[in-house]
Amino acid sequence: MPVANWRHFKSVSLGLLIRVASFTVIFALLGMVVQMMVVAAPIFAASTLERIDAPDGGRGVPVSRAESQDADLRQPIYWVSKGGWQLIGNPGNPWLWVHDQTAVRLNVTELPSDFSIAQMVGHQRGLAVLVGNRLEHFHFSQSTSINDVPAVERVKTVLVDSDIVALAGHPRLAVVALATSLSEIQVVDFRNPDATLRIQVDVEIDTIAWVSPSLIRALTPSGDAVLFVFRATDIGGDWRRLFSPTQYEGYPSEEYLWLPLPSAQAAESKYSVTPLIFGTLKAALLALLFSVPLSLGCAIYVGCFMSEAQRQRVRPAIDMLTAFPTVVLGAIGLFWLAPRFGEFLSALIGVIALFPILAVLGIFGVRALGWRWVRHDALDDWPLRLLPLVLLVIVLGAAAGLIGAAQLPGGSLEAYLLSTGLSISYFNSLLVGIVLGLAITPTIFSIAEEAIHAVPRNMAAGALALGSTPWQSYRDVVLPLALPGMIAAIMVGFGRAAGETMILVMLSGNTGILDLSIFEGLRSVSASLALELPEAPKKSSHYQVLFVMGVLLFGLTFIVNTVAEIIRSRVRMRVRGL
Amino acid sequence: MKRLFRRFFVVSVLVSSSLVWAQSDDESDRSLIIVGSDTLAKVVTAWAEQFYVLNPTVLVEVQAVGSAATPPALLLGTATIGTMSRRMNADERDAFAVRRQRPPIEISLAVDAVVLIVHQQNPLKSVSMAEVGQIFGMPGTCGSSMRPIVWRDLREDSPLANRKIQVFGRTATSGTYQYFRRIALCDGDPGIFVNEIPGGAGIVNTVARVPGGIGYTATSYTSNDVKILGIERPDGRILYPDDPEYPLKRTLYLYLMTDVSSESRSIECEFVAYVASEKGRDLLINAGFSIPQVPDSQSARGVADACG
Amino acid sequence: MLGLSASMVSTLLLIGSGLFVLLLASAGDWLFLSSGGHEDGVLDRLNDVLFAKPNVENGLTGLFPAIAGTFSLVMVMTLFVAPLGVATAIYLSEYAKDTWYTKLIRISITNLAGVPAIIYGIFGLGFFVYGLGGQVDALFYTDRLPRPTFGTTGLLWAALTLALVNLPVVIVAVTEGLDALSNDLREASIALGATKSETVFKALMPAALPSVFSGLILATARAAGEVSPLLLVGAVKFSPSLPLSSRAPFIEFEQKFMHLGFQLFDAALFARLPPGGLGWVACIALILVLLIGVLNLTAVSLRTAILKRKTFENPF
Repeated sequence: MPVANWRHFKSVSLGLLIRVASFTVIFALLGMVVQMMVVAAPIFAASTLERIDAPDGGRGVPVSRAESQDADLRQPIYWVSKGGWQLIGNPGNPWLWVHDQTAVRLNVTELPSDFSIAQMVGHQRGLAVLVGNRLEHFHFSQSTSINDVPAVERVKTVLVDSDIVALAGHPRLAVVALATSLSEIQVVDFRNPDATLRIQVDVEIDTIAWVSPSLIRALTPSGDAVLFVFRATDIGGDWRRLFSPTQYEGYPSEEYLWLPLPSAQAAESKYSVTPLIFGTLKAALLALLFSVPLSLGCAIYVGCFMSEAQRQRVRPAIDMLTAFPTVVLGAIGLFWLAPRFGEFLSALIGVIALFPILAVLGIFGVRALGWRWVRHDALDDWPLRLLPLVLLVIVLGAAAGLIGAAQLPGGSLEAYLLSTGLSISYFNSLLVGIVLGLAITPTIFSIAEEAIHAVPRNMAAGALALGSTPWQSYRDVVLPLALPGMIAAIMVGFGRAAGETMILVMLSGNTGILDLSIFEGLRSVSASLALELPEAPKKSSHYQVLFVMGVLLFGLTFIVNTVAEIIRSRVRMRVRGL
Repeated sequence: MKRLFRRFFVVSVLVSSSLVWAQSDDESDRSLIIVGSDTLAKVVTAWAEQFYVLNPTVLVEVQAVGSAATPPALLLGTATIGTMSRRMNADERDAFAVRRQRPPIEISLAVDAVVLIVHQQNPLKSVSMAEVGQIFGMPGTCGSSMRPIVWRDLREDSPLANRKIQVFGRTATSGTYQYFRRIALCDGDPGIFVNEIPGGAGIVNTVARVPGGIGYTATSYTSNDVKILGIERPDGRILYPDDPEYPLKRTLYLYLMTDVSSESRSIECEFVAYVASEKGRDLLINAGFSIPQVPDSQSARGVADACG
Repeated sequence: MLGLSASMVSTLLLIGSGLFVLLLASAGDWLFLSSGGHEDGVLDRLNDVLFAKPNVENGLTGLFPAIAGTFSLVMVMTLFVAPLGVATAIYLSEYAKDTWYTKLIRISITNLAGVPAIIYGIFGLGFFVYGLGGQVDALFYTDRLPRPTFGTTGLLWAALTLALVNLPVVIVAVTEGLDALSNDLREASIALGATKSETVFKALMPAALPSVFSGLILATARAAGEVSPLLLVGAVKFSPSLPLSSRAPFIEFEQKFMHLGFQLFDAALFARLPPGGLGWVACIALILVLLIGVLNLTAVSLRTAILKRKTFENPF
C-alpha cells in the first residue's frame, strides 16, 4: 500500500514502534519464566557415562586421590578417625577397629567378613563392600577421642552382577564404578540405585579407578587405559531427593535437610526443598491469620457503609501503609518487636480479648450519644469518632494483657509458657506472621474493598428500606455477592506473603525445620534465594536448585493470582448484571 | 509529533556518543572493587573510606556478604580484590588457575578468632569443644551422642534451667560458618535448628538480647553486651581468645585478581600498599585484629614491595 | 459487628500512625536530644548525618550517597518503564485485536504484577548480569576484559530488573485508564479524520494522562522501597562515589550504588552499631518512608483528580 501522506506515514510508523516496544515487553515478561526453567532444568538431568578417546591411551592423565585409594586396597587400613581408630579389613576375616597408640582391638560386627572387595567411597567416611552380588554402603561417624569408637551404619544395599572384578569409590559422591568380567563398566549411584549406568568395552578390564570426580580410568591387564567421563548433578538424577525424605550418609533415618554447601568440598550436599516450602506456607498462612480479620473488617466498613466522599479520604490513608517498605517493617520487627516479644504478645492477647467488648461498647456508646445509626450517612464518621475509643481499648487491652501476664505463675507469659515446657524462640513464626500480616494488609484491603464496593448500593439500600439494620443488609445482601471477591483478595494476599523476602530474611531465623509450632523459627524459599543465590557459583547444582525453587515460587504465586483473577472477573460480570 | 521525533533523535545521538565517549575514556578504569568476607567488612570499609579520601578520583565499591562470594567474583572478574575469612579451597584455586593460568595472589591479612558468645547474665564461663559440637551440630557430630535441648542438659546447675538453648550461627555463604563447621563440628553438618543470621554483628546484637542464646562470631564483632566464653581443654585449662593456643584462631586472607607484579602501578597495588602502611595497620589493629607472622611473600608488605 | 468493623478501620489507621510515630520519635530522639558531643546544634548534626563522608561503621554519618543512589535508580527505572509500559498498554488496549491470546497476555500481565520481586531479582541476575552483561562486554569492552564492565551487577541492571518488576503495574494502570475512556472519544476523533496514532496520542492519551502518571508514580514508590532484588543485582555496602557524572548521560550506568533500603538492611544485620545505632536505623527508615510516602501521596492526589474529572465528564 503506498503511503498516502505524511500523516498516514506517521501513524503507521508510530503503530509499528508501539508494536515493537510492546512485543519486547511481553516477550521479556513471558520469556522470564522460560529463562528460569532453562537455567533450572539441568538439575534434573540423568547421570551419564561415556567413553572418551585419550590420544596417549590415558597414560598422560595425572594420578590423584583415587590412586592412593587404590593403594588402600592393598593395605588393610581403610580409614583412620580423628581419635586414632583405624579400620582394618581383610577378605574372609572380621573387620577390626585398632587404635593406633594403644593397639586396642575391637571387632566391627556391623561389617560383613565374607566380602570380596571393599573400597572407601564418598567423602572418606563411607565404605562400599561387595559381598557376592550385594554391594553395601556403610557410613562411619567421626570420632575425636579414644573413648568413642566410630559408629558404623549401613546406608544402602544394591544388588549388582555377580562377576565384579574391580571396584572404585568416587572421591566425593556416594558413587561406585565397577568392572565386570565381561568387560562391562558400570557406575552405581547409591543415591539413585535404580539408574545404574553401563558401558560395554571390547577389552578385558582388571582395575578401575577415579582419576578425578568426573573421570574414570579402567586398565587392561597389559596396562592400557580406557577413559570414561561420568557426569552427575548433586542429586544424582533423582528429583525425589528434592522433595521426599532422603537417607543421607551419617543419618540414622530419612530426613528433610537443607544444607546446600558441602563441608570442605567433601560431604554430599543436601537439597531438600520441602522444609523451605513448608516454611513459606507456614509464614504466609500465619500472616493471613493476622491480616484477614483486620483487612476484611476494614474493607467491609469502607466498602459498604461509607459515603463516597469519606471513602475517598479513608482509602488513601490506609493505602499509605504501603509506604512502609518491607525492609522497614523488618527492621521495626527486629529492633522493636523481637526484643520485647513476650510483653508484646501478652499485650496483643489482651487487646484481642478486649476487642469484641469494644464492638458492643462501640454500638451502645454511639447509640447512647444519640446518633441515628439507621441513617446511612451517619455511619461515615464512625471510624474517626471511634479513634479515641479504639486507642483507649488498645491501651487498656495492652495494660490488661501485661498485668494479666504478670499474674501468671512465673511473672510473665514467657516464664509461664516455659513452665509448661514451651520455650519461645527469639525468631519465631508468630513474629514473622504478625509483621508479614501487617505488610499484606493494604493489599488484601484494597482488593476486598473494591469487590465490596462493586456491589450496587441500591441493593443494600433496598434491604435497609425494608427495615433491616445496616449489618443485616450487609450480611444478607452484600456479603454473598462480594464473598468471591474477598476470597480472591485473600488469595492475592497469600501470594504476596509467600513471595515476601526482606521480612523473612530479617525475622524468620532461617532455620530449615519442619515444625508446626508457632514458637519456632522457619526458613522460607524467598529468604534462601536472597541469601544464597548471589554466592552460588553459576551453573552449580546449588544455583540450579535455587532456580528450581524460584520456578516453584513463581508457579505458586502465578497460579494463586490467576485463580484470584478468574474469580474476580466472574464476580465483576455477575455484579455488572445486577 | 515532529518535535517528538526530533527529540528522540537528539537523545539517541547524545546517548550513543556518550557511550563511545565512555568507552574511549580510560580514567574510569581506576576502580577498586572489593568483595568478600563480612568479618573483614568493618576494616575493609574503613580502609576504603580512607583510601577514597586519599584518592578521590578512584571509584571505590565494597560489598561484604560472605566469603563464598569471593572466588566466583575473582573468577568472573566482578571484583579485583577479594577478602575471605577462610582459605580458598583446592577446587576454588583450581578453577581460578584454569581460567587465569596462574594461582590467585594470596595475602595473609590478619588473624582473629571465632568466639562463642552468650548473654551477659548467663553464668556459663566456658565450654569444651565436644560440647560446642553437641550444641551447634546435628546429633552425632564429633561423636557426640545427644544434643542438649535446654540449659539444664548442658550444666546441671544452670539457673536458666529448662530455658531452651537458642543457637545462632552464620549463613552458609559465610567463611566463618565454613571455618566453624570444619574445626568445631569436625566437618559434620551444622544443626538445622541453628538460626542463620546473615551478619556477624546481627549475631552479637541478637545474643545480647536472648537470655538463653549462644552463638559464634568473629572477635572483632563482639561488644560488651555479650559474654565471651572460654574453651575448656580436656586437661581442665580454660583458653580465651587472646591465648595463643586458643583452638578457634584463624587467618583472614586477601586475594588479588590481577597479577600485580606484572602490572605497573595498578590501583590494587596502591591499595595493598596502603593496607601495609602504618595507617592501614593501625586501622586493622583498632578493628580488633592482629597481624599474622608470615613470610614476606604472603604479607601485604611483601606483595606491595614486589609490585613497586 | 458494625462497631467491630468500624473499629478495625481505626485500628489500622492507628497502627500506621503508630509505626510512623515510633520511627519519628526514635530518630528525633537520636538527632536532637541525645546529640552527645555535638554542641554545634541540630542543623550541623543533620548536615553530618546527610552530607558528611559516609562512615557507616563508626560515625553513623553520610546518608547522601544512599539517597542519591536510590534516586538515580528510580530515575533510570522510570526511563525504561515509562515508554515501554505506556507503549505496551496502548498496544493492548488500542491496537491488539480482541482474540483469545491477547486476552491471555492481558491476564498474564495482570498476574505478573503479583509475582514476588525476588523472582525478578533472580531473573535479573541470571539473564541481565550473567547473560546480557557478558555479551555487552564481549562486544564493546573487550579491552577491559577480564574485568567486566557491564558483566557485573550495577545500576543499569538493577534499574532494568526493577523496571520488569514494575512494568506490569504500569501496564495495568494505563490499560485501565484507557479502557475507562468512553468510546465516543475514539469515534469522534476518527470521524474528524484523525489517523490511528493521532487518535491515540492527541485524543486518548491526554485524557488518560493522569492515570499514566499515577501508575508511574506508584511504580516509583514501589521501586524505592523494593530491596530484595537489589540483594541480587547491584546495591553495595559502601560506594561513596555517586553514580552521577558531569558527562553526557549524567548517570554511570555500570556503577554499583548505595541504596537507602539496602543501607537499612545492612545497618540492621551487618553493621556493628555503636550506642545510638537504633536512632540511626530509625533515621534511615524514616527518610525511606517519607520518600515513598510523598510519592504515594502524589499518586493518590492524581488519582482523585482523575476520579473527579471522570465524574464531571461522564455523568452517567
